[in-house]
Amino acid sequence: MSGVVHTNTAELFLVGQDASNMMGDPAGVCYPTSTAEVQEAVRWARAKGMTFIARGAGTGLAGGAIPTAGSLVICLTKMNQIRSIDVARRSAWVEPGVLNADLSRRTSRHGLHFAPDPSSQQSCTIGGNVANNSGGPHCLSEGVTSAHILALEVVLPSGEVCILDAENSLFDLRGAFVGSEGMFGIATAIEVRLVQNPPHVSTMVVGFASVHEGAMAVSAIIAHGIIPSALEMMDAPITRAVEEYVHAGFPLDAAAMLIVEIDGLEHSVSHGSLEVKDIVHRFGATSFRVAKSSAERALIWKGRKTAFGAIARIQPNYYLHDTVVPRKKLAEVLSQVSIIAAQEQLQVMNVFHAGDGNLHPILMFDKRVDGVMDRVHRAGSEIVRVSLEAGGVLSGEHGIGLEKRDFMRWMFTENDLLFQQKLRSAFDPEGISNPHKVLPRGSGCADMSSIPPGSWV
Amino acid sequence: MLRSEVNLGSAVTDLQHQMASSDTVCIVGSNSTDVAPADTDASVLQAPAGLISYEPDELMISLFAGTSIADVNIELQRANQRIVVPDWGTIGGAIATRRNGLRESHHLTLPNNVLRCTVIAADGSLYQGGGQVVKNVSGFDLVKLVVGSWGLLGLIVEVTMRTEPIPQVSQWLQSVDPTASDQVNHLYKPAVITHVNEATFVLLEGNEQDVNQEISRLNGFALCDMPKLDRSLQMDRLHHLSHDMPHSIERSIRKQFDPSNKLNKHIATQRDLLT
Ligand SMILES: Cc1cc2nc3c(=O)[nH]c(=O)nc-3n(C[C@H](O)[C@H](O)[C@H](O)COP(=O)(O)OP(=O)(O)OC[C@H]3O[C@@H](n4cnc5c(N)ncnc54)[C@H](O)[C@@H]3O)c2cc1C
Repeated sequence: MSGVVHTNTAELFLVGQDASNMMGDPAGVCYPTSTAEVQEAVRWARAKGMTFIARGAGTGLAGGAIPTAGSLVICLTKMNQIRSIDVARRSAWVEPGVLNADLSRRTSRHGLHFAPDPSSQQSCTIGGNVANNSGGPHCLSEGVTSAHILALEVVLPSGEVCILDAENSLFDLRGAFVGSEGMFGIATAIEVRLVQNPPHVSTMVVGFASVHEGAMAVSAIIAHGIIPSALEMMDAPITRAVEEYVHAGFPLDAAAMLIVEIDGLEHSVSHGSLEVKDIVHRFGATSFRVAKSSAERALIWKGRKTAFGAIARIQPNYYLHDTVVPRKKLAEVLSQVSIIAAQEQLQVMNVFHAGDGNLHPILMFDKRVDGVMDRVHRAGSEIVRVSLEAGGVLSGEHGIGLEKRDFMRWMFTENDLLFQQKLRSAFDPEGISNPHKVLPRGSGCADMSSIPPGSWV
Repeated sequence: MLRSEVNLGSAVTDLQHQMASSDTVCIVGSNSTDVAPADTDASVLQAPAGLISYEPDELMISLFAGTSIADVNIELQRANQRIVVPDWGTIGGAIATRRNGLRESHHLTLPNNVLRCTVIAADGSLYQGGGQVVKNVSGFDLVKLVVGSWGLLGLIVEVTMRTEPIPQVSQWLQSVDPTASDQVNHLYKPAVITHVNEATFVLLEGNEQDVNQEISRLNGFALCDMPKLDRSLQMDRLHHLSHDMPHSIERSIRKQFDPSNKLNKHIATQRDLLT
């Protein structure tokens, strides 16, 4: 085993980071190609008294994939086979390294797709999606990753392999594992649910003169009993940045725009779209456009999903936040966010899953400027605070990782955290799988030992 | 109508005391599952009933777990909404037994619709999982763990559920035609497909014109009422579970959550989860 553990500085540098701004301290990295090799890697680490961490594509934003405590990084990108597709049952067994977008591409000839569609879907892995219980625009009607995982093959921290599904245990261990951020063991095969491609789709782009009116329209659409397949908002700064290079025909004069998509059978789509049109006009829509072809729809989604790429045109660095608030509080919290950014003299842009109240304020900065990181972090914790005050939660899809670990007490009591720790202990009594994440420091709950350099919360 | 008059907060505190001071506890809803307690000395604990808050525009309702599902649905109907749980027993009981009824083929439905749970643990303390929003990945998912835990991890006292708009039409159809299974597989996202004896049942829901169009594509199907559910199937499941690796994780969870084997001993015994 030691022969296949790489320890050269260049590789360790790469697997020491993810899409957050942190840097970890990996002791080695290996690339298993089978469940047996993952087992071997876990047992090897155990024998050496080392901790270990599963890694997918490293696109996580909360530092979940940052190795701590000199962990062995077990990188799953070489386990990228689709083992089987059951068209009749609408399910597939896949390996954790399969890329999210590849799975939908490979199942499209059966008229099926994997519903969770994070903006990072071209590069993130199904294993990472499971670990973070990831979401995406189309999770509004379809539900997040957890709703699409039927069973899991897992290498436990003990080195044993087991299947977690709805049939072989009383407790929903499958459900408990999804979203466990690599701290309950390593998923080595995943049975996913596949969803039928919709026969009809209507994609609407709506402009508003203010963010407030756009947010009110979002609440009104849901309150009216319409559950669009996606309901996304972009504010003016990000819309302009995206439009400059995607040319999706986004309204440049609007203060906020919504992408509303309705899919399904013919009449529900046509009636639903008419109702949406009616509602957004009542809330002061300044422009309304329906995609006339699938090419036009694809361009709209390209604009939405590559929005983060556009940021580089404005500032060299960004910090993408992720909180959830009740839908009725969207307008209020968005205006608080812009005040917070102004106080810290930071530019902010918003592109987010409005339909489920999932905010993604993006703070933009140049990290070479003296003291800017302090302002970014102050603004970040203020955003978390106002979201919680509005009745919201810490994270809607990026997870807690290292980033929000020490905010956990803002949302949970010591006893809530103790029971979360009990659940973790049942899977990982020694705390060796991705240690130091999620549960806050300084309580009986947290894994003991050092904090990785570069972690700043 | 559902709104509770008495201070149910103090009812929860009383239950916490009872839990802490009892050696064995049997948790009941309205006893619709017929799970006979084996232990006659056990304290019988039941969650209070009543509405905590209902926000139709947020598609969300918070309830004390002892509320009957029939009452919940009456309340929800006023706003043309529903929760998709079979219409008997209490909401706490449905969650504890992961009762999906006819949506069994969609066994993920119920877990995904429970957004928050407050539970009295075996030691009498309160723990909560989830939050009052529709999307949440903050920390480990105690909600998923509690859904389907058969009272072995504590007494569920409060829950927040996702509600949904009542569709324009809901129509059951059945057929004994040998091609029935294959035909329903070609429908677009039917709400339920289920097989009872030789018959295939399908539930179509949504826009009236769409549903009629889907019906016209089916051959040899007749309109019908909802098929009868066999409630005893629920308990059967307990005997058909495996005893390999996942079972040892279940035992460790039990050891962590109920170290003195206080809760629902009769179920823990059946499932070999006494630690
Ligand atoms: C530009 C951009 C846009 C994004 N958009 C979205 C979005 O719309 N929605 C969203 O939800 N997220 C989004 N993300 C975040 C990220 O892409 C997701 O969290 C993704 O699921 C992570 O997958 P990964 O393969 O990169 O995992 P990694 O970052 O490698 O790992 C993430 C976590 O999963 C664990 N892990 C990985 N594989 C396994 C395994 N096989 N078994 C157990 N644990 C494992 C790791 O230990 C770590 O804790 C975005 C990120 C970026 C950079």
